Amino acid sequence: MASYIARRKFLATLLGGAAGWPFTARAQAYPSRPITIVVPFPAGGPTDTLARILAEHVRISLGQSVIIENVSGAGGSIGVGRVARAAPDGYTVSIGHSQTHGLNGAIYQLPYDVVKDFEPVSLLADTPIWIVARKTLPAKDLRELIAWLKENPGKATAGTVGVLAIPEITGIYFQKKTGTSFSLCRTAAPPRSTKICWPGISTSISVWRRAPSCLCAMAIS
Amino acid sequence: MAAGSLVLVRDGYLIAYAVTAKTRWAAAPDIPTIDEAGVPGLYASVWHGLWAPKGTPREVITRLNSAVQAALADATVRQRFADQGQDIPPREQQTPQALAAQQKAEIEKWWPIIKAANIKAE
Repeated sequence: MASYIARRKFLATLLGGAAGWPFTARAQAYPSRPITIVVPFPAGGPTDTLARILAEHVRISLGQSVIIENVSGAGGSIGVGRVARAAPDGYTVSIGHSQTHGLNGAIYQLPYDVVKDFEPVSLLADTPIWIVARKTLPAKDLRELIAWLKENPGKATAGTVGVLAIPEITGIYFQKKTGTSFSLCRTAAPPRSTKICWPGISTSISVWRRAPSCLCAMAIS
Repeated sequence: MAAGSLVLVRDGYLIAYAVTAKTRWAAAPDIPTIDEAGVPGLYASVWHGLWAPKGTPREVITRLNSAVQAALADATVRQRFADQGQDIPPREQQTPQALAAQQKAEIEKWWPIIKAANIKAE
């Protein structure tokens, strides 16, 4: 290494100002071929939808094709893992979210590090969790809901929707912060879900199945 | 997301008590924030980001970041993200540093909760 640097220095001295040229030229040439954005979920889901919207604009800015590659499985960790092992040249990048690049590190035994194996590029978008309940529940607002949950400890169930753990941990966090206690029931993500554990609203699941994107909610029933 | 779930609220199946965010959600601005609803600070969201493999040259990251910033400033992209119920972060947060900070803060916040609740992959 030391001799390599010494040789570089020597060459730089020899060539003067032109020595940096090949390196600068290589950087300016990026991107010289198509870029692949690895989506760690199936086509048609929310992450895929965002990737495709982004790709349409980014390919114009970069003057190169942008390919979307869906590599799903294991909560997104298969696709993210592929990028962790990809050449660090900017031609393979990873779109993901708070779970794939954060929570999965605590949920899965991963063959990569969600932080140390990546260079962040940019935040893209943010969507909150909602707290909803059946209309028939006798609580008009959140304060009343908390009071009702306190009067009925352990009686309520919160359905959390999605493959993501985020609504579920939101439910746990909510109980901790409010001093309430209820059970949590994870349901599969639309559009694959045909069953839902919220009494009284199962008929409307067809609406959810047509939803354009995932619904991250914690619903009390 | 907005479309499907708002239908449930409008049809009278559901009541929406709050969104777990500091600011109201553009897709459903009538739903109170968690602070307004009475549980200050109970923030939780699904936020998306873009990453490259470790060791990607700085100038390549800068080029990618500029392209992303240009996309997020584009009116069509903004509208299409909004249609998905996605809020775009302000310009100063569209940086590698802001994404790194967000990732770090979220890991520090949620990992202890996940481990305490023993949430594991199925």
